[in-house]
Amino acid sequence: MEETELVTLVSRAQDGDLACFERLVERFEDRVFRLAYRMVGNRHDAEDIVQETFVGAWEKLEGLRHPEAFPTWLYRLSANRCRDALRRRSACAADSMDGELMDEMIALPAPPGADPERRAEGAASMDALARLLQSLPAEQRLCWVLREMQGLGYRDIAEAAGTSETVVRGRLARARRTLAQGMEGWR
Amino acid sequence: MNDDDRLECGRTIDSVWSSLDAEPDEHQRGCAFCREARARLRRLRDLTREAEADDARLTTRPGVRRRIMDFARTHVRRGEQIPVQVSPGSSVGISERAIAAAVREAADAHPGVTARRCTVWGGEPSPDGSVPLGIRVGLVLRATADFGPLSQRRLRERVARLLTSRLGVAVATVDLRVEDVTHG
Repeated sequence: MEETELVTLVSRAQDGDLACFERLVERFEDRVFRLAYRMVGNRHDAEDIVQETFVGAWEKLEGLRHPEAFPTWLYRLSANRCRDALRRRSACAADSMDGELMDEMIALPAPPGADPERRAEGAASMDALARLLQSLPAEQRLCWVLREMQGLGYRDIAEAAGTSETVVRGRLARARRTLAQGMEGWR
Repeated sequence: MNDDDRLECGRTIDSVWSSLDAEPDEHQRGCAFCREARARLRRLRDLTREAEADDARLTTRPGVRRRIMDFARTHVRRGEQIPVQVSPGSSVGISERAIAAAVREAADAHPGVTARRCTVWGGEPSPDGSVPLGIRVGLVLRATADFGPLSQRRLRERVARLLTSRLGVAVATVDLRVEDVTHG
């Protein structure tokens, strides 16, 4: 979205324009959903996070002093909701995730239209990435997904994660190492 | 691989990651650690791209947006109350939000103009108790718009007219602030 249009939508939404807020939801909902999905590993929780994020955004919108910062600000809100969800989950769970529950939670649909063998291979490799992501500590996972799947720059990741660029780089380096080590046997 | 970001040969994983598309340099060609890292990171990158393509199809169910908008609709902050009529023992106020909505409507109807934020303040009450309002509104202009003095005056009149007819308020000042220009 062009920045001028973004600032207009955010400004008007700050003044109570519901139609403009809805357009912001339309434009950013999928991004938030995909981030949440890769953070928590299942659609249901990810949808809850989307809802919580935008409800929070509406409540806090007037506090956003720089409308052009809306996307990064929104990522920050959703990162916080993801963290909350993961903390709630680990507070409820036993020591480690039940293997079966883990499978259920990270199962991803195979790409439609692909031939059966490719789909099986696709599904298996999708599970591999999803499993590996779930094995990363949440803060590393956040930095990695924002960088490699959402395409954010280091400064925006730092804003979203509530930390410094230096810390982000460190987390990304550790995440890459862990994920690369998990690429065993994929030659 | 070492515990930190470095491979056994001293190269960083990050440097391997960011040079995956390039041909391996002389060191990388001869280094077993780098070759291994490249193969693994290539695979990681491929998986990531496939995941991204899959995720591009991910979208929320309609209920999510509905619930978000239901919340927004039922939680509109009314903002400041602007007194528009004062008389001994009573006053009438209108929310800044309601006034801003009317200002936006008037400005949006003006050729080449889109409203952004609006602030409202009350001046000194007139003898009849009516409070003349000051309006400041941020605007975005289309690059091709005519926004010369005549157009500006017409916009001010449009705003004042709508506020008077719709909300019964008197408008003393309409302060126009052009914030940006669009080419779309």
